[in-house]
Order: sequence, then C-alpha cells, then structure tokens
Amino acid sequence: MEKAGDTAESESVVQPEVPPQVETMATSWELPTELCCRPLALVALTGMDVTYNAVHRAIWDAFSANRRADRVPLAFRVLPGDHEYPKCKTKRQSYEWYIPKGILKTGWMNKQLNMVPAVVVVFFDLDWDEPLWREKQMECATRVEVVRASLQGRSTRVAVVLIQKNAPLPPGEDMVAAERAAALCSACELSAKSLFVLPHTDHLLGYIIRLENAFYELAQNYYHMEARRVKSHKEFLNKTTHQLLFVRHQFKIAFYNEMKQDTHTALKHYKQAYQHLNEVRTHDTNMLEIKTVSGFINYKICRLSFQHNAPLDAIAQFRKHVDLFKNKVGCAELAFEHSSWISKQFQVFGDLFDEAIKLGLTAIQTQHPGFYYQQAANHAITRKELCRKLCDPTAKYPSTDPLELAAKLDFYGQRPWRQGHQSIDPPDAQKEREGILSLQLLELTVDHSWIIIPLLSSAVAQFKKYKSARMKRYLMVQMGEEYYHAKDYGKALTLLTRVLWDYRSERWWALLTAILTCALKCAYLVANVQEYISISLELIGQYTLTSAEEKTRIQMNLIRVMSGDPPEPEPECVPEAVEEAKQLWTSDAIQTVTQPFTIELQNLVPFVECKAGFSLASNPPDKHMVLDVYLSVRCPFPIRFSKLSVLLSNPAYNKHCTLADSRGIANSDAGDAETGDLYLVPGQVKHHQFLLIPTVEDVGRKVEITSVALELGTPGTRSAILHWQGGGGDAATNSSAPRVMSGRRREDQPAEIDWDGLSLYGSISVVPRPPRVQVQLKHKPPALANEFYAVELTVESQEDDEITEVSLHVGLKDGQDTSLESTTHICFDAPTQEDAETFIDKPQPQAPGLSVGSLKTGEKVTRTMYMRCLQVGQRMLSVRVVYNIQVSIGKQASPICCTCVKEEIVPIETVMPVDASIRLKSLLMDALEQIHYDEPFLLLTDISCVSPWSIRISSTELQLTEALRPATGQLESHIHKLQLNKNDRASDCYCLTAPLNKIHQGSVLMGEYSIRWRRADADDSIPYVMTVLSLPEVPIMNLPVMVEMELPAHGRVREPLGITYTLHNRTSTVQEMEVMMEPSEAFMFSGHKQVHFRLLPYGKHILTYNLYPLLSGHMVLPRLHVNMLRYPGTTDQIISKMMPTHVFIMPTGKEAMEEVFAGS
Amino acid sequence: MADEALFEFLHMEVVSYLFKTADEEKCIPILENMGYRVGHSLAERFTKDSSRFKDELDIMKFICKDFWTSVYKKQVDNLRTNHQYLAFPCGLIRGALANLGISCIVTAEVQNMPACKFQIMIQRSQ
Amino acid sequence: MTGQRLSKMAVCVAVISKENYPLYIQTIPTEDDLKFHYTVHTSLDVVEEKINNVGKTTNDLRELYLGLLYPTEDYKVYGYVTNTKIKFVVVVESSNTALRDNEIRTMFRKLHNAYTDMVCNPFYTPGDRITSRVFEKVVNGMMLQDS
Repeated sequence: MEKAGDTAESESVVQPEVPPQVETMATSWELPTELCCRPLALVALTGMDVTYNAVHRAIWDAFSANRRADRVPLAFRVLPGDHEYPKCKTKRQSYEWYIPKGILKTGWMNKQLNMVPAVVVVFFDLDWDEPLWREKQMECATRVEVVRASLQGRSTRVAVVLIQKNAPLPPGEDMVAAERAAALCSACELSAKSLFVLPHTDHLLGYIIRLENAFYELAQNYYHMEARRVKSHKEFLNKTTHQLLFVRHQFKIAFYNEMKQDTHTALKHYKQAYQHLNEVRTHDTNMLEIKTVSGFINYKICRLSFQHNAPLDAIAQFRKHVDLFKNKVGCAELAFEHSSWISKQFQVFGDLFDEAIKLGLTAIQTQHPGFYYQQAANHAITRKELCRKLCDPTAKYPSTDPLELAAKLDFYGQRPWRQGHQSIDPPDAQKEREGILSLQLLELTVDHSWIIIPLLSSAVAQFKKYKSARMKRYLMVQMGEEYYHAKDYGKALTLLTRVLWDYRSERWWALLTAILTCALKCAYLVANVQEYISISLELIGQYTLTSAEEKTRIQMNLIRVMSGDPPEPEPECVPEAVEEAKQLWTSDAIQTVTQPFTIELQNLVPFVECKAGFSLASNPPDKHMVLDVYLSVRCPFPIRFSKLSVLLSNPAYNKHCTLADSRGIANSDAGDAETGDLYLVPGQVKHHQFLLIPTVEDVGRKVEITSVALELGTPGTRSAILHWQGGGGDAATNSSAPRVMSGRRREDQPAEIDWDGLSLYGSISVVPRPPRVQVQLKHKPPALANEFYAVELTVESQEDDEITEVSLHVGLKDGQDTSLESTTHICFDAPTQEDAETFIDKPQPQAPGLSVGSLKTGEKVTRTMYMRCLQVGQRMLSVRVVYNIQVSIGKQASPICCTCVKEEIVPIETVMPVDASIRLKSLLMDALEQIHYDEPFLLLTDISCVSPWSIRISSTELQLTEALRPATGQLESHIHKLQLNKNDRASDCYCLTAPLNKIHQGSVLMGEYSIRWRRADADDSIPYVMTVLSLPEVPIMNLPVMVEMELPAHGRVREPLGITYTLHNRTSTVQEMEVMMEPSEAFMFSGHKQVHFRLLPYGKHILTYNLYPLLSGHMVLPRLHVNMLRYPGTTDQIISKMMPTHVFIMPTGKEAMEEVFAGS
Repeated sequence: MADEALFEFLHMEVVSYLFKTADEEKCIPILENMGYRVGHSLAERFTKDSSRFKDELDIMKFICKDFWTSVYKKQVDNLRTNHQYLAFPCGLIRGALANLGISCIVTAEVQNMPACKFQIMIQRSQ
Repeated sequence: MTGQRLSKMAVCVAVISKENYPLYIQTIPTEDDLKFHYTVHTSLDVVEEKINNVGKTTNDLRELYLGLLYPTEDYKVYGYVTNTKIKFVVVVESSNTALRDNEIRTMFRKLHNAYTDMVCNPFYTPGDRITSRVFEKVVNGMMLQDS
C-alpha cells in the first residue's frame, strides 16, 4: 500500500511549522483551563514562613514537591494568616423575583479551584512543654479567630497543626499533653479531631502524609456539604423563569463532586445539566451562550466517560451533542463562528480520545481520533470559506469598540456589548450591527490555514496509525491545498508530488488530474522548472481528464519552457504571486541553468510512450542485431524531440543507438535524410531501427536494454532527458492493474502499427556461430575394462573458407558420476608398455587440447585418442572441435573473427574382459574348504572370456604370499600365448603347501593372480595390459596328528603286501594314542590289531603291517582307526581323509586274471 | 432440456466453423480465449448468490461442484473427447478462476474414453 | 447539504475494479464531485481491511455485503465486495434516516445483478470503464433526484 521511502520522509513535511505570527483570538468557546484541568480540593496552609524559616520550608516542600500519584489529590496554597478570602454573598432567601442573567459565571470555577479553600490549616510552633503556654495558647486562638472571621459565612473547615521539636510520647502517657490539648481546643473552639501535632523529626514525610490524608477527609466533607447546599435551592426554582439556574446548579453540584473526587456522581449531574440546557429555548441572542456552555458540559461528560472506561458512552454523547447543534447556526452573518465552534468541538473530542488511547484504550480503523481531527479540519475549512463569503475587508471598524469587554465577560458565551441580556431580541439593533461587524472584521485577521493545517496533520498521523493509507493521502492532498491557500507554494508542491505516485498506480485519473492541476500552479508560482516539466508531461497525456483546450494550453507552455522562455501564468492564481513568479522565471538563477533535467518516466504517466526491444531473443555473432524503437505521443498537437538514445548493458554499442534531430522543438518540417526525424504526431507510431554488430566478447552473453532516453528541448539552453528504465513502460503499464486482454485496436491508431500488439525482447543472447565441420568417430565398442581403447577421430571442414587454430578437446562430459572421472584416463599419445603399468594412479578424464592447425574447405584430419577405463559402466564422451573463422557482416569491409565450436557426445560402455575364479582341491581331488599346515593341496584358476571381442593372453602369473609356497619346485603358469574367444575358458593348476614355520590365525591370504592381455585384433602398437585378480583368503587349520602311509602301487593275490603307517605328533604335549585295525574280507593281515601307545612331543611312531590279499581287483583296504584320548571322537574322521582307501590287487597267473575279469 | 442442446450445438458449430476458417494452430488459442471470456462472465454470475469464499479451497470446490454442474449438468461424459473440443472448457475454467483471483494454466487429457482429466496448475505470483 | 430531495436514495454509487481503480462513479449533480471520488477512494482502506481479515478472525464475514464502512458527519459510506473482488460503494447522506440496512442491502443486490448482466455482455471488455446504458439506468434509479 504504502510506498517505501515515503513514510519516513513525509513526517517532516506533514508536521506543520508554527506560523510566524499566530493570531489566535481568545474566543468565548475556547475551553478555559479551569474547565480542562482535573479539579483538586483546595487546602490553604497558613502561619508558615516558607522563605526564612527552614523548618517551615521543609514542611512546605514535603507537601508540595514531587507529589506522586499515590498521594491524595489535593492542591495546597501557602497563604498568610490574615489572608482575605473572597467574601461570601448573603444567602438569597427567595428566588421569586430573581431572573438569572446568564448560565455560568466566568469566575466561578476559578474561585472554587484557587480561591475558596475547603480547609484552612493554621500552623503554629508550640511544644507541650512550652514554658509560656498560656500566652502561646492565646496567640494561637487569636490566629484561628482571624481566619474564621475572614471565612465568615463559609463552611470551610479550620484545622490547627502544632509544629513541635520533640517527638511525641505514646498516646495516653503524656498527661500534660492531653491536658493542654484539651485546653487549646477549647480556647480555639476547635474539635479535638481538628487539632494535629507535627513533630519535625526524622520522619517528616510520613507525618505529612498522615496529615494530608486527614485534610483530604475534611475537604471531601466540605465539598459534599457544598453540593448539598446547592441542591437544596432546587425547591425554590421554577421551570419557566429559572431554566438557566437548573443548568447552573447541576453544573455546580457536578463540579463540587469532581473536587470531592466522586466522578461518578459528577458525571450524573453533568448529564443532568446538559439535559436542562437542552430544554432551554434557543434563539439567535442566546445561541452562543448555550453552545458555549453545552460545549463545556459535553467536554466534561466525554472526559469523565473516557475516564470511566466507557468510550462508547463518550462517543455517543459527542454524536448527540453534534447532532443537536450542528444546524443551530445562530446569527447568519456570523456563521463562521458556528463552524469555528463545531471545529473546536471535534478537535477537543479528538484530543480526549487520543488522550484515552495513550492511557490504554484500543481504537479501531473505523473509530479513532483521526476522524474527529479530520472533521475539525473540514469545519475549519468551512469557517474559512464562510469568512471569505461573509466578511467584507473594506468595512470600517466601529468607532466605539463593541468588543472592548470581550476579555472581561461575567458569563461564558455572552456578547460583550449586551451582557446579561436574555430576551429574544437584541436590546439595541444598532449596537448589534456594530458588534457583528466588529466580529467579522476580527475574523478577517485570522489566518485560517494555520488552524486547518495542524488539524490535518493530526489526522494524518492517526489515519496512518490505523492502516488507512488512502485516507492519509487524501488528507495530505488537503494539506497541500491548504498550503497553497496559505501561499506556501513550495511546501504545497512537495506534499502534492509526494502522493501523486499512489493515485497513479491505482489509476484514479480524476483525482490524479485534480492534484496535478494544483501542483502545476505551485510549480509555476515557485518556478520549479523540473516539476513544471514533469507535471506538464502527465497533464497532456492520455490518462488525465484535462479538457482538450487545457491540454493545448499546457503543451504550449511546455514548449515555451523547453525553448527557454517563461510560461504563461496558470489560471486562478493570486495576482501578487503571479507577479513574483514572473520575476522568478526570468531570473538568472533559472535562466542560467543549462544542465539537462532528467525525468524518470516509469513513475509517471507521460504523454509519450516508448517500446524498445530486439526482434529476436538470440542472435549469432555474424548477423546484425536488430533493435527496434517505437515512439508514440498522446498530446494535443505534434512535438519534436531532439535526441533519442538507447543504452545497452554493453556500453560499446551505445554510440550506434542514438539519433539526433536538431530542428528545434516547435519546428514542424518534414524529416529529411540528413539528420534523424523525431517529430512525433499524435496517434502515429514512429519507428526507428538500429542495426548492431555483436562484439566478440558478447558471444555467450546477453545484451540487455538498460534504458531509453528521449531528449526534449534544446541541448545547451534548456533540455529534459526523459528516461525509461528498460525498454519503456510507465506507471500505468507497470501498475498492478493489467491491460485487459482485448483484441481491439485503439480507435485513434492508424492501421499500420498495432501498439498493444508490439512484442519485443528486452534482451538478446549472442549465441556462437553454428559450426560447419563434420566429426566422425571410429571405434569398436564396448570398451574392455583396463584396456587402451582406441577411438579414431576424423574432422572434415565444410566451411567455405579456411578455418584456423583447429583444436580437438576430448574428455568425459561434465556432470557425470565422480567415480567415473577418477577411473578414466584419456590421452592422445599412443600408450607405451610403461604406461600400461604406471599411470593408473593418476587418471586424467580430460585429455589436453590437441592442436591440429588449419583446414581448407573439404580437408580432413584424423587423430586417434585412447581411453582407459578402470571400472565398468557407461561414460559420456565429449568430443569438441574448436576453430576460428573470418566472417564479414553485411557490407562491412573488415571481416571479424568468429570462434565456432562443434561438439559430439558419444556414450561408451565398458565391460569386463574376463571372468576369473579359483578352486581348491586336495591331492585326492576332493574339494577343500580349508587347508592344513604342511599338507599339500591344489589351486586351480579358471579364466573365462566374457568380452564380445576375442582376447589374447600373453602370460599369467601367480604371486603367493609368504604363507604359501609351491609344494614342489617352481611356480609355472601353463597359460601363455593363448587366444580366448567369447565364452572360452582356460584353467591353470598349482600344487601348494602351507609350511608350519608360521602359525596364522584362522585364515591366510593366498596372493594375486595376474593376466597380461589385450584384444586379439589389436594393433601391435598397443601394449598388453595386466589385469590383477586378488585371490581370496582361505581358512587354515593345524592337526594334532598326521599320518603318512606307505603303500606299494599294487599288490598281487596271495602275495604279502607290506604297508607302514607313520604317526607324527604335531603338538608340544605327549599324546595318548589308541589304534585299531579293522578286519577286512579282502585281506588277512599281521600286525597290531589294537594297540595303545604314547607319542612324545613332535615325535613319531611307525606301525608296520603285512597284508595278505585274498581277492583281486580294486579292493578296499582294511581301515586303520586312530583315536587320540585328548581329542576323543574327532581324530579318526580327519585322519581317514589323509589316507588312501583302496589298492589294486592283481590276480596271480593267467587263471587268476581270468577270474578277476570274470568276476567283474 | 432444450437449452443444453442449444449449448451443445453452438459449441460444436463454433469448433467446426473455426477449424474451417482459421489456421489449425490458431484455433486452439481462439477457442481457449472464448472459453476464458465465458468462464469469466459465468464466474461473475454463479458466485452472485454464494457466500464469500474463504480461500483457494473454497474456490476450487465451487468450480468443481456448482460451476461445473451449472455448465455441464454433471453429464461430463457429454464432453467431446477430441482435443479441439477441450480448448473451450479449459479456457472456461481458466477464465472463471482468473476472475476469482487465481491465475493458472489449465490442460486437459483423455486417457480412458469417457473420462477427461483437467489439470489446473496454479501460478503463484510473487 | 440542504435542499429538499427525494429521500431513500443514494448520493453516490461507485463500482471499483479488482485492482482498485474506478470502473464507474456516478454522483448527484454537484459542484464538487471530486469530493465523492475521494470519499469512495478512501473507503477502500476499510474495504481492504475487511476482506483481508476474512478467514483470519473468528467473526467471519461470509456475506458479500460489508455493511457501513464508516460514517462521516455528512455521509454514510456502505460497501459490498463480490467474490470476484469487484467493489461496490454507496454513499448516502447521514441525515437520510429512511435508508435502513435492509434497503441498502437491496440496493447492492440490484447493483450486483446489473453489474453481472453488464459483464456478461460479450461486447464489454472486463476491466474497462462501464458505459452500459442499462447499467446506468439502474444506478440512476438509486440516486437522489432533485424534487
């Protein structure tokens, strides 16, 4: 809602300055201070010398200085003991013949508040042990007597305070004191309750507070009695002749109650007073008095209602008050007086409301003090207008001043020339006329603007607080207008121009026009050239509702100003101000300013519109960028601008985007070819086109229109630069309100250019020139992991001219998985055998650029690049060819150098060349899951080719860890110089053993198996690469016992066959062994059938058996069961796997052989 | 009812007339704009007696219930399933929502013949 | 603001766009119709506050009729906002006690009906100033006439 920036600054302007000479006439309805203050009970303190007596001074200070809110509400006065109080009038016995002369006496409130005390206190220095007691007692009694005499007829309370040096004894202990106190009371005719003792010791303030509480009670009592006394008159009054007294008495009762601090009762009586006042018949003669007093009473009612936290009552009372009186103008010749009175009523209520808010009341958007200040201002404005209408400045002031007594009225609201007169007709018609005339002449001396502006300012602050931005702005407009009336044109202009923006953006053209019209007058009168131009630009535009003649007049003036001449005066200006303005416009201060004024158009709704932009969103560097500028004016008649320039984000172009027309603002010649033509005819769209050559550094960047500047006037004398941010647009086109979708053409628009349909780009991207080369890739996918994958690149130039500085850039495309980048190496250098082994540690995903020189039209160049991928997966390979070429644009002589880029993206899949696995077997060819120390086993490696391409293996190699060694001799690979086609397999076999020289925990690492290979069809220049496979870990176990069996290769039936079993203890402890030979059907044997022995640590035992084969064939050997007592149940099974289970027995002789075969 | 038939015929005629007279690619925007204007007006008329909408949900409920029933009598299968026939209703929805303060892009697709899915993408300005 | 006029009528009727610019303002013949423009314009502060609070406060304003926006000494300003955020503002003289809430409500309904009919005219472009004669006739029927 609120424009940022406007808020903080506006404060200073909105706050009106105090006018140089404030001439406030003390009008009778001005609220007197005694009415507005909070009434406090009056207590007179006598018998104190506060100037010379330090003790008295201290006492007085304790009463009067720094009274906090928790002290009782009392007003103290120090008076001399013989002070003369106002004389009490003799009590009226009957009201029968009494005709009141007015409602409320002007002196009464002041008398109650400041002159007639509720309590008079006599201070007297006297201690109980005073040696001259009797004399002192007499003196005190005399003083009391003097006071009483002065208060004769009044019921004011009298109290005596004895100032004592000594602290009092506890009550009842000081017999002398009690006795003397009683004597003193009797001497002074004082009740014991009215005698006080004040010791001036350490706790003075405490004593004072107790004292004043006692006085407060006495005072309340006094005012209570006073109120009752007034009330008692009621029965004597009659409704016909004493109407005014009903009002007066109720007012007095209420006021006494207020002094008593009984505000609820006070409010009740003020309401009754108001009620009685309403019953009084009003006529022109008493109208002012009634309005004045009703204003007073209304003030009291509202104030007390707010105080009682009943704001709605206060508002209702005020509404009623205004409704009752708003049409009671009274004397028509003094109607301004009525407006002044109402204005005051509103202002006072606003103040009361605001006061209540400061004390915690919450107001809302639709009910807050701002409304009352606004109304007060409105009535003040009415007053000003009535004054202008009713008061004749040429009239002569009456010779005898009818207003002589104006400051000394007996009753509030009466005319000074006929005080106390209550009949319907004025007593002296001549005097009445003179009185009215003098009041009119007095009104003419009032500077109304200085009443209106502060009221508006108060209202602005309130509406701002209650979220009413528009109302705030309206009030600021009113303030501006009031400053205008007050002839402070500079301030008026500042205020008006400040709010313009909001009316513009909300498109309230009628209001905008009105404000602009006033602002133009101000700008003329203070000769503010820049504002004058800026306001004129808008007033002659399409949105303002100014009449055609007015627009013509304003445009003529604008042309005068832009030609360096003073404009014609604006209409309806005060003649003296116009004279001053004429001086200003021709003054040196204005004439010598040759600096151009810059006016930002995006904040205005000017008469000239602009649309600038590119016809394309992007452009190659070898073509012109086309920049179109369309201009259109909506002023009454044609106008010539002097210069058009478009500013771009790269200022290098700016000198090519200007157009000057030097023929002068008023020249209407048709354009010629020599200079540009900026003569704009209303309703005709002017089109200019600039052709720009893109600069080399803008390739890949955007060129943006930063602003458009259109110069009006004559450079060097007076000119204004109209400045659009971006490519045009003003407050109307940029505002939130959209231009509604409509296919309609503006009626005043010639058919050739549809302004609304113009659509341009605010910026243009300079894109690289499209390349004209062909790139071909030759390679055999997929790539195999770890190999040097060769890709052959062929570049062929299809440009018409030679291309230079051709370079190739190959690498992984950006933005791929980082694991791919760290496992890819790309280069143009042919790899050596050394490369095959070294550079895996530092892969290079982008090859350094390779320069290939120049290419003529149709020429080709071929290069090979190598890519080595350590990991499988898909990679996007980017192949870029970068080159330079000289091109010429249009007719331009010198060609420019363009850099072109051709990029090809190729996906390359990498797969594994081989799949390798291993197997472990025992020497009996059983699959092993674990190995044993010193027990030989077999390692088989299986290689299968999974590549779609055949590979050639040059060699394989097994590298063992120290945990293993070959069981016999050297390790020798059997796979070498072998070609594997897809799905071919090759296996290698090694016999290994784990020596017991080192004990490993659980399992051992076996080592690595490496394969040297390359593609079978690879060029010889490509080295073999080594793919290394890690062998798995294998579990290893140590057996407590090992059995070796010696057995001949075969036996023969009925020929003895000797076998030995050697049992080794592999532990460091003695082992108890149980061995049992199982009987067999095929053999008889000799030797221990069952034996029990001990094996020493690392010792051995040999068992020898002679077998006697009975049958021939592949026979099951008798089984040897070995049991170790330390490891019951486990040994036998493990050991049985170590030994052969069968032996071949040949038959004896021919028959035997036959028998064998026959039996099989 | 007769008025329904009138609307049906008119719509069909508008579509076929446009496709006969204008370029193929211009037809859809023209139809869409016609729908927009009609939706804009209908939103004005149909919300005349409803209470104030609290939020966007209220508005969408109104579009799906009252608005649609008023225009298409719940017989949503009556919609022609050719895309050129959907330009108008798309615009209709867009226009109605725009008038109620929601700017959006409406697209329609037909997956299974009698059903038509309108997708409304609300544009959050600022 | 004196002079005998036909009672029960408005002194100013305005239609304000979604974006808060005036689509139509008709006032009784007066020297100072600008004052009514300001009255209508400033009343938008209250309208805005009221519709912004919809859904936020407990006493939800679900009615299109916003009621009395604010009273000034001379005029009462009433507001109405359609679901499409078009605002109607009616100004009546404060002295006019014949117009009760119900009459004002009826006035707004009539205005809304007339506006809707006007918008449904295909020759009207939404957002343009209202120039329809039918609409004007309806408005004139609500305005004070010199007796």
